[in-house]
Amino acid sequence: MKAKPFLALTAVTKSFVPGFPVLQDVSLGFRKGEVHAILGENGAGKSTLLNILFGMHQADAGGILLAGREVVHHSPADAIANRIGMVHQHFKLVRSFTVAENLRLAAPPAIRPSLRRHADIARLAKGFGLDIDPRAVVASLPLSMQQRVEILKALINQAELILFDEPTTILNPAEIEAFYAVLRQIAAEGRAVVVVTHHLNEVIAHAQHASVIRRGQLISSGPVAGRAREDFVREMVGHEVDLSAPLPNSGLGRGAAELSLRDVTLAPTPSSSGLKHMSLDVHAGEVVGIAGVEGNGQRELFDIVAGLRRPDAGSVQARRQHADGRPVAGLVPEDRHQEGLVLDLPVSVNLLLNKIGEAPYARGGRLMHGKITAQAERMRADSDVRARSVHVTPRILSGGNQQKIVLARALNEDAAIVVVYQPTRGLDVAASEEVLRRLRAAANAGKAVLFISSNLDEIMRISDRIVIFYAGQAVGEVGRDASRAAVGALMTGGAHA
Amino acid sequence: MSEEAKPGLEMNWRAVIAAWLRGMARGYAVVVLLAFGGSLVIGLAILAALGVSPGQAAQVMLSGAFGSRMAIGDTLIFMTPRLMTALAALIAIRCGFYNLGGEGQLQLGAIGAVLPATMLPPSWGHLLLPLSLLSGAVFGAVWGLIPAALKLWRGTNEIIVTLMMNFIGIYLVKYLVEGPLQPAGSNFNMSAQVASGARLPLLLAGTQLHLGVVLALVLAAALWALLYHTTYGVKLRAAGLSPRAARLQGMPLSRLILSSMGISGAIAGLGGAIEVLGVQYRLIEGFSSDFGFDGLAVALLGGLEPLGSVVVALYFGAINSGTIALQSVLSIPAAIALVLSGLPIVLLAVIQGYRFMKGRI
Repeated sequence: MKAKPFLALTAVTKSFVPGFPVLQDVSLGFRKGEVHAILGENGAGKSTLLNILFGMHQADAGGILLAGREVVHHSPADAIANRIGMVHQHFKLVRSFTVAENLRLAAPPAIRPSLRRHADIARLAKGFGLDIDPRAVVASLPLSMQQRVEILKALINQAELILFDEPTTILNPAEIEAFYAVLRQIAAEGRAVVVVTHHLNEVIAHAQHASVIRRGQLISSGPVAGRAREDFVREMVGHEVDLSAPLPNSGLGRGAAELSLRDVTLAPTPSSSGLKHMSLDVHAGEVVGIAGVEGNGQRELFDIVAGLRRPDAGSVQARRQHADGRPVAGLVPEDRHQEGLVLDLPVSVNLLLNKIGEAPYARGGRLMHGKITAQAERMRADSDVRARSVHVTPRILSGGNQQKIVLARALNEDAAIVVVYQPTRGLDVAASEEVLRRLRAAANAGKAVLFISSNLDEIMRISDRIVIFYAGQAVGEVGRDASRAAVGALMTGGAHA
Repeated sequence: MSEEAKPGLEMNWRAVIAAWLRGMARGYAVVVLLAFGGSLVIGLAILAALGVSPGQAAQVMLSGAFGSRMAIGDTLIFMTPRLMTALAALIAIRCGFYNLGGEGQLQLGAIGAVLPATMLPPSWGHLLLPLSLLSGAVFGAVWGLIPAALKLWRGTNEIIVTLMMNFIGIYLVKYLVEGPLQPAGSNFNMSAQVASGARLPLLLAGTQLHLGVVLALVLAAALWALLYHTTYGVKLRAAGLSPRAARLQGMPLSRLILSSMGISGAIAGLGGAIEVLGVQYRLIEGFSSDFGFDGLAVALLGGLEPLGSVVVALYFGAINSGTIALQSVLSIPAAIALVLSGLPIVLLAVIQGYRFMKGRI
């Protein structure tokens, strides 16, 4: 049954700093007709592997065998000539061009005439199972559609092996299903597909073959069928992690209400469900999980508690409030790069962004650099932020370390309330566990945590109470021991319990 | 990972400036040296093509820029307005507000300075100088606050408004010197001379170097301290780099934009006042040879840093005085100055673009 691999890596070793190999002796084969997942934590070496395949880096030792023949990729152009395509995590599209223009730009000269008419492009795309409007300007398209343009670019270059770098981080659950349907078709037509990811569920559901890389070494490579989720997690992380065990609460019960929403209402708009008579209390010592399909009022709830928007009706009460009435709350926003951090200011400033104007970090309007650095160093050590110093910018840190900064700042706020929105998005298993563990520990130490997420597994594990959102309303509340099925039914508006 | 799908002028500007700033942080000094060195080489090659020996041209330029007390004085005089408008541009851009209106704010500052300096009784003596400077700063600040207020309350695009207000400022000066401010019986498009008490004192005997250059350098140092050593500065930078993150941490974005544009307009206005009170002693139509636009270039070439802007403004000043020497000694059109000040920008854009494409920024 096993055909020879279309492309193989033979004992590839790569290091950027001598003595610290990013990849060590990795041998892997990719077969046509298969979706091959490469699993690993952030920093395991997955991206370096892709970059070597695509000619952006060269291996120090070992090489690439293409259909049994040794090839060297000095640049992406070499890789494309060898029928390898890549869909980067950040798309390489001309945003102000239309879909058709982007495709013509990427196409080899021989193909270009066949892309002259929009109708031809639409037909071509449809043939690959990719419905798209060739006239649309890329910037106006949702990210899932932009991704299709990238896939089409690879396909019109007649790629026989297509590499995907973390393709699903930007997609919502429905889009992820559609994405893998496309991948299956592409593979079934006789191409090899390689997906680098750390989303285990997707791999188990959609990939035929999976390879696990940890700290630059190949841990396993084989068919997915018959393998358990826990196996993969152990191989990725290096030790046992139970991803289904609830995180223990303090057992002391909850304290006073720190945050109270009463009849909060926001008018719906075409892009938002609004909020309808939302009443919610969050007490000291508890984690309240907000479950629901994205777009059912979660963003609106976060904005209201964060003070970004004011409710049309109803009240938001917090034990501590800013002068302008906003609740004092530690905030972990959804978009780490745009809302959580100022990526180009030092880590120290980011850690203290909420207090930068207050004593002892400022005196008479002057910044006290010594005090800022000292406190930032303490927070960095407490939160285990892996950065060379607090003077570097978060831009160069991994997502997990960036989120540690945001979380450290939120927990350092002089208020019991902590509001988190999608706190583990884009993080790998170990980093996600770390975030959940810290939040639960904070609640056990007396914080009131409002946990908004589209990841039901996480909500079930961390929350004391779960409030289910549907169409801008709280349609139900369940306790720690509720079943997934019960919550799931409420999430889709099925059973109004 | 949400990405705002909002094409248009403004988004592109922000992306370009952000990439530019990141590029600065990495090996920028080398890139700038390459750009300036390269443009001097190309400039001399152009001169050689005009039939002048490059060695001689270089020597004439150098001595014209730094060769004597007089030359140094001229260089610093030419540096001053460009440094002022560069400082004005950078404080607004660092707050995320693309103030392209330095030219207009400078024109208004000149109007603001000439009014008290020519209208108030000359007997007020040296009190006239601080009054005129202050008045120039206030006029510039008001001109700067208008686009800020329009953006905050009416949602207008500041790039267009600040750019267009330049022309209003330029033509306002033209109107004033052809009409209300033109002395009776005069046919020249200029105002009356400012009172002697309103003039900036000269610094160096035998030159026209005035106190304005000291003011500009002190302001550069003050802006550096403001940006890096005050809470206002760190909030301003945070708001400019990541407005959404700054807002979420409770920073007052509107107040920051208004105040930074007030400061920006005041500095540009002061620059105009200094030209009137230190160089021309009158309000003259066309007194500014595009100082406002030069200032933008200086600020960007200087990495939007006050101290970087001082160095680049000095280069611009030296090119200006050096090419005047070229004209008088070797009869080469002084328009070569435009080439020499434009080339570093082109080269820098090319080098940065190359690095960007190679993925090094």
